Amino acid sequence: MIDDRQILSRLYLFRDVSPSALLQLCSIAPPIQYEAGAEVFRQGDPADSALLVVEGRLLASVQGSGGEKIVGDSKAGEIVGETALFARDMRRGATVMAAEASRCLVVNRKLLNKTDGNEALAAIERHLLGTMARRIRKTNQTMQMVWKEMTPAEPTESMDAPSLLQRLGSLFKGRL
Amino acid sequence: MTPQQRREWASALLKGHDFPGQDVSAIEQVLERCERRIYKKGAEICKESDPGEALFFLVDGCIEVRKAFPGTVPRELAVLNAPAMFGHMSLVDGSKRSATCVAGEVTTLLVLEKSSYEFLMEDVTDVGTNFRRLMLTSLTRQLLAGNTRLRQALGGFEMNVKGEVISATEQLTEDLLNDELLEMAGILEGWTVETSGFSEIVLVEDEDMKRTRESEQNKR
Repeated sequence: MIDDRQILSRLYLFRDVSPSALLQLCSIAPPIQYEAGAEVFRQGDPADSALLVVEGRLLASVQGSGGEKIVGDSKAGEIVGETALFARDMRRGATVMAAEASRCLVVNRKLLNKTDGNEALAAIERHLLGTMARRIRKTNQTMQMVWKEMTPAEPTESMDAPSLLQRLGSLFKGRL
Repeated sequence: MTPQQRREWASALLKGHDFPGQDVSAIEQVLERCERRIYKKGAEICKESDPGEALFFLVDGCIEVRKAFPGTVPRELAVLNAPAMFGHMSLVDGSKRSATCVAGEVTTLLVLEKSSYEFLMEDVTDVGTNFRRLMLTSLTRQLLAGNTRLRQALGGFEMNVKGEVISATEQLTEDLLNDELLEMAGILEGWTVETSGFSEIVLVEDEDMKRTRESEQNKR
């Protein structure tokens, strides 16, 4: 039978991490098993931890005026709810369910305080930095796209402000 | 930089950040790896589109941040006042500099070179751990502030957890101006978010800094 350490060692983010560091991580925070359909987070609940999907798949949904919408799909190696780790008084922005039988490592402040010098945790921190940076860049690229599409080709000293409708029409063309 | 200065700056840097395992002496050791540089007014610190080779702790003076949006001449995006941290995004994701930074007056920076950044990213001692968590706290603020501002501006849209628009829910109003979009871009790039927690810093001058400041005051 494959143990937790072996499952973690398959993840790309732990490629250079020693078996002993993974073993220590598993002993402090053994991955939690979720059955298919189990609720992991509920939208609006207090948030103080992130989940690293070790096996399986999680689906995030939000309750909006038009009903429930699937807004995220996270597979092994991806992190969910990471902003809760380094900010206070956060709430879950979405409800997260296990789309299939899944196993997740719960990363919370308690774990961060307990794993001094653990290289697996350092790998998780680097992974978190990369994840956050990608999200920031992606949003920013979308903003840059608005400028690219809404401003004249030749540089000018002043610009007339394009209307909100123009900007958003351009930004979300074909996506709504 | 004297040990006393390092201590003051490290304490001030941590004051605005809240993360597990926080340790002032670890951040002091991060600052110990930095080179102190003093720039004249108007000196260029980094240039938009250049590769990121360092991150900066601004400890005295101010920085003017300029950005050329497509189809426009460069515009001022923000003015950073000491104390602050900037230039970290390029090191985190290997992207090019998103803006040009110029010293707005005689300015002192503590410069952490890319090689030191990379060392700290791998370091499993308290020093590396504190540095990574300081960066994570800053990026979390950047992400949350950017998403909040974007949500406000796009009030008529529902967005998913990654900040992508998924549907329009109400009629739009004509209230999004260029400056608002600029502000959002500034937030997302970390220029206009309080990322450092330096706000209550007490700057301890050494002789060099004192002479430079007095000479600037006399010129005025």
